[in-house]
Parts: sequence; structure tokens; C-alpha cells
Amino acid sequence: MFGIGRRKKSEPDGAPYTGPIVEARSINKSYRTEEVVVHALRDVSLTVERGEIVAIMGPSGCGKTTLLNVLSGLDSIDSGEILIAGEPLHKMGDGRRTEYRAKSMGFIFQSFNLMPVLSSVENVELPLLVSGVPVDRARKMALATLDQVGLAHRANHRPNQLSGGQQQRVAIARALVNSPAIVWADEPTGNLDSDTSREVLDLLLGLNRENGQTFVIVTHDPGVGSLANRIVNMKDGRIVAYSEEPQREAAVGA
Amino acid sequence: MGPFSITVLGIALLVTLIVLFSMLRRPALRRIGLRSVGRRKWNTLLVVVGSMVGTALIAGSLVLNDSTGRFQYRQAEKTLGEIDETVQFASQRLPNDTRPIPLFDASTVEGVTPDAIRERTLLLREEAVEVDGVLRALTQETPAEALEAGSENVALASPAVTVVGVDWGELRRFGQEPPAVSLRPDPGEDRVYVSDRLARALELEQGSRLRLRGPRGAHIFTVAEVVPEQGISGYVSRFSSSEGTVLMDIDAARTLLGASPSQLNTLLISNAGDVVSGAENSPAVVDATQQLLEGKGPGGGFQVSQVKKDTLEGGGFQIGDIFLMISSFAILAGILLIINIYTMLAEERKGEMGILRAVALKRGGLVRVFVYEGYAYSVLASLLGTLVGVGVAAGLVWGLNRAAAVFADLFNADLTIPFYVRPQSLVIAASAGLLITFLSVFFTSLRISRLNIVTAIRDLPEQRPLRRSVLRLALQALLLCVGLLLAVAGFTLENGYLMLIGPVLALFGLGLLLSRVLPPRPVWTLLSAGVLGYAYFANELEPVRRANEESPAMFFLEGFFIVLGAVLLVTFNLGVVFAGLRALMRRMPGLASILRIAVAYPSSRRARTGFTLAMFALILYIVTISSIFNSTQSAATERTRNNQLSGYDGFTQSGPVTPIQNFGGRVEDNPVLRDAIEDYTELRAGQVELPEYDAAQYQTPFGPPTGTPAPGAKLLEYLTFVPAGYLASTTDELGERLPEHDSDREAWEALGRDPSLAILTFPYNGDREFLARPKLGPGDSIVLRDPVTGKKVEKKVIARMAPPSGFALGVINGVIVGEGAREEFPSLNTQSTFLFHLQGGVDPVAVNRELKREFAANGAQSFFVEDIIGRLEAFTGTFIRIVQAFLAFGLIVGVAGLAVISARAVHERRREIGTLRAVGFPRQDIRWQFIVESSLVALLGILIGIASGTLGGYNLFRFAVDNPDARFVFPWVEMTLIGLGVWVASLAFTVVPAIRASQVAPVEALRYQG
Ligand SMILES: Nc1ncnc2c1ncn2[C@@H]1O[C@H](COP(=O)(O)OP(=O)(O)OP(=O)(O)O)[C@@H](O)[C@H]1O
Ligand SMILES: [Mg+2]
Repeated sequence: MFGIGRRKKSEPDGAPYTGPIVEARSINKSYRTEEVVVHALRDVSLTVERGEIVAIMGPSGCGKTTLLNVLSGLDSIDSGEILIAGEPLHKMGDGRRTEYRAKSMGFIFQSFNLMPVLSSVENVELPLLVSGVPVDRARKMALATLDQVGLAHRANHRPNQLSGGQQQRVAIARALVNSPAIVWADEPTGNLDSDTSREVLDLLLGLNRENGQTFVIVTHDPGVGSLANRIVNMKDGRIVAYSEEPQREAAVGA
Repeated sequence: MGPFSITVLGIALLVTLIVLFSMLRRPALRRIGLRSVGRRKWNTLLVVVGSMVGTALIAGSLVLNDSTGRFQYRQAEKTLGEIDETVQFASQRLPNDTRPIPLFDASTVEGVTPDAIRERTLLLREEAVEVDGVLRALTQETPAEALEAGSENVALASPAVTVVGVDWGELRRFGQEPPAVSLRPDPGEDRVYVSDRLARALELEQGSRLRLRGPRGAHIFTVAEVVPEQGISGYVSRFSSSEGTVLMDIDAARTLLGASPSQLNTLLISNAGDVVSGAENSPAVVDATQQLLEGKGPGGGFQVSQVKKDTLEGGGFQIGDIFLMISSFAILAGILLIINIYTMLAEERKGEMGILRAVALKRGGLVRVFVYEGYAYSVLASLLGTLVGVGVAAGLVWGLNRAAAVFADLFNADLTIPFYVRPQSLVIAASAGLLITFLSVFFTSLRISRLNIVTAIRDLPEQRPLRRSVLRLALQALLLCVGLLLAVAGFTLENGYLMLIGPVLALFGLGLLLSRVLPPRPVWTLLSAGVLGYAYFANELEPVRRANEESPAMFFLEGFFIVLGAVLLVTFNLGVVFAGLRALMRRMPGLASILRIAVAYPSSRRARTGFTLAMFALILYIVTISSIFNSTQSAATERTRNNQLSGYDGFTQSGPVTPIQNFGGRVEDNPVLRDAIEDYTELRAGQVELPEYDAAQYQTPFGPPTGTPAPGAKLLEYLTFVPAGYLASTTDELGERLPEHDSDREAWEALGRDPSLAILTFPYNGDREFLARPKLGPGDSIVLRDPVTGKKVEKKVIARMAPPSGFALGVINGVIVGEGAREEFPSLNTQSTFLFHLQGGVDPVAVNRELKREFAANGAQSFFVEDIIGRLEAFTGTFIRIVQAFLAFGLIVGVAGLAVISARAVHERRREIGTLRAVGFPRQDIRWQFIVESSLVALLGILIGIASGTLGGYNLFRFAVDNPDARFVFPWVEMTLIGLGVWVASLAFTVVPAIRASQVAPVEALRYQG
């Protein structure tokens, strides 16, 4: 679905991949600054199943954002292997990886990262336009998604005319508009008050239930954690604990 | 240094002192301010290059003036030296006057002595002006021939050399120090000193024999010595085609020129002081001498000319001033660039700045940090700009010399402009550049430092406090009122400047006020269209047109408002402009994502887009005008080529004292000329008085080569007798004629039949632009007086000629009558012009050589239509190319500007680029977004510039080109090439930033948080 099962031409069609959607094997990542080397990720292995909601938690500076960035292919790794739907992410060229992001991934950033010069609907359209959806159809889909997040009436507003919560909802609409297989969210509620963050989370869960999308969410918020199927706890660049039992039913097959 | 220069220098010094002092007192702020200059080398380089262009253009123009000034100084030093004024008995000599200089008796000028002049100046000016020499002289241009050793055979001939005869004893007392040549022995009766220029032209050396031809025959002299041109030994009159100077004893000159022992024709006066300082007192000396000579001599009286001052000042016209005027558009564009760069730098650091303020810094401190940084850029830019400007000037001088080279052989003189730099010019250019850059920076800093601390830190849009918004309202209302007031004042006082500026200011005030309550787009669309239209049609108002003729400032103002109006109009309607692109997006979905972003930034950053557009438009405006001027001009030349000399191919004129006697017979006897010349006709012209008009009221507007006429003198005018053959074939157009003549041809032919009729040349149309003459037309009558017999004759004017089409070879002057009228002026001294047709296929160069040889003894010179027009075209072509090269330099502003802006934009948008990459935009899309965005803005700016330049050019054509043959020609090919060239050049400089943008990693989007 939605292109996540796309294969190289040599592989036989009609044999959809059924394994884990994300599979990371002993990845290492360090940042070299002038004086010191920071080992942000040390020998991290992680598997995310299709349709799961995974929460990554841990103290500040433990490497959560770094993990999200390398898993989604935004950043490089020093060693290890990451397979997305069975394909080695870091062996792809930049072009293919980018195309992959456009078609199969959605991003929700902690600080919204909307384009200030575009209106809400234009922001939401971006992932569609870049994957070649015709302009008129892209507009319809973007409006529909904005409607889903309850912002149809703000479609022509610029981000600086919206509140923080509204901006985050636009960002969510942008992340979901092309129905990506995985949505990466870095502290999506970090900038929001508790009521608004509740609304945002309900929205995400609803979408997960309806579309069976996979969510990987970095969060400090135990409330978010409690909604996840699984919690990954990190410390000093290592995964220290999984919460074994799922917090709730995964949406798979629902 | 003039008062303006001193003011500029003073302010620049003051600013420097204040800034340096403040830097000393605030070392911490200085460190923050100067840090970024040294740290970001590429940024600094771009900012400095962008800001230096204005300084370079100013320095270039000033140094060009230095060089032409140096040329004039050398000219004065060589041809005048200690001579400051001349006194001659010939009022109102025209620039191309070919009559001999009239003789007068020495006793009439006895009263003119250094002491007498000193006393008069004391009376007139209450301050004595010292004069250190009055020299009696005989001077005249005559033909000359160098003879082969030991024979009478001519080795080389010259149509005109300047003969100067002086008393050797008097010469030794002339000036504070006697002229160098006077220390050599008195040449006596048959020896002469020749200037080295003449010696080169005729290959003369000590002992060579030189034959000079006077009105009563030839005399042979021996060259006593070849001497350098230093004042009297190089004396030639201005605009003369003399090939050099022959200095001899005054008695020898009298014999040659047929003067009696008491006669002379020129008095030379030397003011105390050196070549330059002496000339400063010329006006006082001229007035005093004029008074001393009042009432002396018959008729027109004496004319005193300040020859040195005129030569030094070049008639008040400085070519560098033209370049300065052209530069003003580029300088303004440069200022916009500086403001633009500065605002970007500041916005980028808003966060940092806000934190600084939050921590401790007062607003003043913030301004200081910016000002220190800006001052450093200003100093670097002004130094670099001055240096580059010297290079620009060197290029201009080289180009002008190349352009002038096409005339070099016509003037037989070294017309090379030396490259010369006065240190003052560099100081002034550097100070002006420093001030322009610094003030732009300073006011931009003031504006941005008003940022609110919280909004700055959080990178939110500014919220305006209420108090300031009231102040703003008041200022806007004030602008409206001031504008209206100026407009009213302008219309009542008929002041063109106020009439233009007032309504424009009022429109802006109105716009600012209206856009508070109404949506800004329609308000500004209407108002900017209003500004554009008003500036374009302002020339319909008489006072504005007059101001335009008087000073280039008006041309600049109009241009500025036209560009401003056009830029605002487009800036507020970018949506409409980009609508076409939206259609394209629908058609080509692949492009949609690129175009969406490429259009979004310029549309939402309207101020910045407007500035960038204005930058390009201002420069392209003046580039377009210069191209249009050129194309319109050369179209006119092409059409006038056929109308020159009424279809004759050329003409020959003799020197003043050696008229050609039997032109037809000599042509018949010369086999080369006989075969080349198909037929010829002879025009005779002499000078008569117009007793109804005072000379003093008809001074020519282009300055005093003609000198100040004596009080009470009557206007002198040429009377041209035209033979029937010429009248039958002439194509000269008439501006106005009596209705009884059905056609121009018929009016011309009427002159041949009836000697009581006259046709006037165009200066009688009363516009005083070329020569000042009374306004007379068909139906009027004009009285002519023979200067010798005093006899008065009245002529009926039947027509007036139309102004010449652009360039015209002039052989017809003043009042035109038929040959039959000659009987009424039997003793009038006339000069002849021989007009001829050439046989087909004859080479004019060869004919010219033969004519020069055949009539060498007459000092004849010949001119050919083909040749002159060819040279003129070559000259104009080269000149326009120089102007364009100069302007191309100004385009650096646009190109560098776009480079700086896109480089800063990459920096500014890192996070947004990262977001786009994360969302799935491939690298090449990001690259293309930048390139398309820059190219859209550049293209739009270029198009606005060309469009408004076309408006400006058409305006110029309508009001400034009064040439009936001129057609408005838009140079399509040239403008397309220029537009494309500028566009491609700008793009070339945005490729690097675009690539840098595409290399921004997607993680950037996440790294910059909060
Ligand atoms: N670009 C970078 N250069 C150098 N070090 C970095 C860089 N990005 C992150 N780090 C370091 O890597 C470590 C992990 O950072 P990361 O941003 O992943 O933490 P985090 O768990 O997301 O923390 P927080 O909850 O505060 O967002 C930190 O010690 C951080 O200082
Ligand atoms: Mg983080």
C-alpha cells in the first residue's frame, strides 16, 4: 500500500513484503565536533512492526532525535544497518532516499517547520506536488486533509497567522496527506499545552486506527507513552529497556 | 576644491571621527561589530564589492574631468602661456569665421597699459588686479610651404599656420618672467622661429626655408630655430585648424600682411600670476579693458576675450559631468543594494541581537554594533571603489581618445587626452562613497534596531506599539500636506521641480493614509500608476520642460519617479504577473513544486523583491535610454546623409587672406580634377550690419569664443549670395514661407528672379538655441547696412529655413539672397565657397589630396559629405559604446546584488530548505527553485527597466530631439542582447548559492529549533 511495498523492477510483482517495516541492526552514530566526539547512538537495534505506535523516551540528550533522524534516513550512520520494508536505507542514493521520503514517510517536527511563505493548504500540498500529483488533485486532497485536522477554515492563512496548536495540526496534515506508511514525530506535543496536546494525540491515534499507519514518536510526555503499543527507553545513546507488553492494541488488521 | 567638495570631505571626516571615538569608548561593542567583518570573508567581499560600485562611478567621472581638465590646461599652457586676454577689432566673430582679422591703428589702444587696467579694476571691483604685460601684435592664419633646399620647389605645404609678429624688445618685458623664446636673438627681417608642432608637420629644421603667403604675395623666411610650444611661441586661436606657429618680428609681419608701420590687429594681455591663477582675474581685466576702449575705433568697436579662462574651462562643459549624471542611476541602485544587504544581515541576526538586548544592550548599543560593522564595510568599499574608479577613468580616457582619433587629421593637432588624476578627486570620491554607504547603513541600522526584544528572540513578526503608530499617522498626514503645499507652490511659482515633486509626494502621503483603511493592493496600484503617468506626462507642463532643458537633475528626477512608479505597480501586482506561471504549473505538474516555492518567496517578501526590482530597473532604465538615443540618432543621420549640401558631394574653401581666383579654370587645367569634378557652383558670403538690432542682446548661448561686444555695437550678420544653379537644385527645407509660394522649390527660385527678396536661416526662429538672432519670419522685412559704404538696403523676407536635420555641414549662413543682390554691395569683402558634384565612382580621398595640392597656395581646405558623415558616425558609435561600457560597470550592482541576496537567502532559509528536503524535495529541485526564483526577479527587474527606459527614451525623443528627420527607433536586437546578457550574468552568480542551497542536509530542519 501507498508505495511502501514498491520493489525494484527485478522482483516479482504481487509478492508484498510482510516483515517488519523498520529494522535497525547495531547502528552507531557519533558527532565529531572540534574538541570532542559525542557517541549519540551506541549499538542500537530496534524493530518496528507495521501499524505499530512506538514511543521513544528518555532523558534529554540521550539520542532520541538522533535515532529518529537516522531511522528515517534524514541523517547518516557510522555503522550498522537499517532496513525499511526490507530495503537497506543507507545503501540507497540520496535521490532514491528522497523519493522514498516523499512517497512513504511523513514528518512531524517538534517546532512545526512550516514554510512561512506558504499558506496552510499550500504547505499541506508540498509532499503531493513533489511526488507529481497534478495541481488540482493535490489541492483537493490537501483541503480534505486540512478538514480532517479541523482546519479547513484556515486553509489560506499563513503559519504566522495561526496559533501553535493550529500550526502543529497543519504540520500533521502535511505529514499525513500522502498517506505515508510511516510517520516520524519528534515531540509533536512539546510546544503545546496539555489540552491541545491531547487533541493532537487523539487525532494521531484516530488516523492510526483508520489507515493502519505506523507511528514512531519521540516524547517526554508519559501521556503519549501510555497511548503507544510499545515504549523504547533510551539512555546515553543506548536502548535500555522496551516496555514488553503493548500499551494498547496495534491497529494492524483492525 | 569647491564648497560642495569641502562639505562632503568635512562630513566624511566628522563621521569618521565620531565613529572611531565611539569605537574607542566601547571596545566590547566594537569587538562584536567588527567580528563578523573578518570572520565571514566571502560575505564581506560581496558586500564590499556591491557597495563600492557607486564610489567607483563617482571616482571615474571625477578623474575623467581631471583628465580633460589636464588636456585643457596643457592646451592653455602651449597655445597661450602668459597670455590671458586678447583684444581684437572684430566684434562677434563666429566660430568658423574665415575673414582676415581687421587691422587698427596702434594709437587707438595707447590707453591700454598695465597701470591703466589696474586702476580701472580698482574702480570697478574695489580691488586692484595686477596686469604684468600688454603686447602689441599682428596675427593671422596664412598658407605655408616648406621649400626644398636651394630651390623654389615646394616640399610640403600647409593650408593654415598662425603667424605672430611682435616687437622683440616688448616681448622681453611681457609677463612676470619674459617668455622663454624672447631670450633668443631678435629674428630680424627675414628669419622666424617655428613651433616644434609646425616643424614636425612641414619637416622643418634650423636653416629650412619657409614660404608664407600674405594678401599681397609670398615671402620667404629662414627658420632661425625650432622652439617648443610655450605660450607666444605656440599661439593659435581656439578651434583653429592651424598646424602650428610662426613667430617673427612685427615689422616682418607687417610686410607680409600688408599693414602700415603703425597698424596692428591684436593686443595680448598677461595677468599677474601663473597659467591658472592669472586667468581667475580675467573677468575684471576684460571689463576694465572694455571700458578703457569705449568709444575708440569706428562701428562695432573692440572685443576683449578671456581666451585663457575659456580654454581652461572648455567653455564650461565637462564631459565627466555627463558620466556623473548617467552614474546617478547606478549610484541610487547601489544605495538600494546596501539597504537590502543590510536589512538581510540584520534580519538574519535578529535572534542574536534580541538576545544581546535582552541580556544588557540598550537600543543605542545595538545601533552601535551595526554601525561599527557598517563603517568597516564603508571604509573598505570606498577605498576599493576609488581604486576601481581610477581604472574606470583610465578606460574612459582610452575610449574617448579612440573616438576622437577619427577627427585627428582634420585638426592637425594632438587631441590626445592625457590620463591625469588629481589627488583631490580621489579624496572627494572616497569621502562621497564613504558617506553614501555609511548613511545608508546608518539609517537601516536605526530602523532595524527598533525591534522588540521578545519578537526578535522568538523570530515573530513585529508588533507596532501604539505610540509609534500615532506618530506614523502624523508623519503620513504631514507628507500629504507637504506634498500638496509644494504642488501649490510649484504651480503658482511655475517652478518645474516643485510641480513634479509636490504631487508625487502628495500621492505617496495619500497612499500611506489610504492603505490604513483600504486594502493596500488597489490603493497602491492606483497611486503608483498615478506616479508613473504623472512623471511621464510632466513634460507637457512648460516649467517642467524648461527645467529639463536647463539641468540634468530634472531628467534624473523624472526617470527616478517613472522607475519608482513602475516598480511599485509590479510589486503590488506580483500575483497578476505570476498568474501565467500558475497556468504553467497546471499544465506541467513536474514543475509545480519548483514554481510554487520559487514564486512564494518573492511574492511574500514584497519589500525585498521591490528593492531588487528597483535595483535592476534603475540601471536598465538608463541603459535603455542610451541605446534608444543611439538608434534614434543613427536613423536620423542615415536620412540626413542624402540632404547634406543640397545634394552636392563636397566643397572647397580658401584661407582668409588668400582667396582662390579662377576655380573653374584651374580645375579645367588639372587633369585629375577635371575628370573627377562633374560641375561646381560658387557661393559668396560677406558680413553686413543689422542696424535695427543691438549686438549685446544677441550673444550666442554656448559661450564666449565670440567675446563680449562693445557697448552700442550693432549685430553683424553674414549675407550669402546664392547662384541660380544652386537655387534650382537645392533640397534645403523651409520651416515657414509666404503662402503665395506653392512649394519650397518655388520660394528658392523666387530669390534668383527678385534681388529684393531674402530667405533667413533657421536661427531667426527665435529659440536662441544655436545662435541668438531676432525672431523674424515670412512677411517681415530686414534692413542690411554695408559696413564700408554705410548704405542701407531693405529686404523682404519670404521664408525661413527649417532647423537642420541633426547634423548639417554649414555653407549657408545668415541672410540668403540671390546673386542679383551683389550689385547693391559692390565693395563688400566676400569669401567664396565652391560646391561641386563628383563623377560617379571617384574616390573622395584622392580628390581631396589633389585639391589640397592644387590650391595649396590659397590654404584651401575641402570637405566631403561621405567623409564627414562617416567620421561622425564612427565617433558617435564609439562614444555610445563607451557610455554603455561605463553603464555595464554599473550593472555590477545588479549582478552582485542578486548574488549577495541569494547567498544570504541560502543562509536565511537553511531550516526551510532542510524541511523541504525532509518532506521529499530532491536536491535538484532545491537548486532549480533558487535559480528560477532569482531569474524571475532579475527578469522582471530587467523588463521593468527596459519598459520604463523606453517610456523615458520616448519622452526624451518627444521633447529634447528637435530634429524633423529623427524617428523613434527601439533597438530590438540590441536591447534583447543586453537584457539577455544581464540576465545570464545575474544567473551565473546565483548558481553557486543555488548549489550550496541544494547541499543543505535535511537534518538542518531539525537542528535549528526554537
Ligand atoms: N549536530 C550535532 N553535533 C554535535 N553533537 C550533537 C549534534 N546533534 C546532537 N548532538 C549530541 O548528540 C547527543 C544526542 O542528541 P539528541 O538531539 O539526539 O538528544 P535528544 O535525546 O533528542 O535530547 P532532547 O530530549 O533534549 O531533544 C547530545 O549529547 C547532543 O549534544
Ligand atoms: Mg530531541
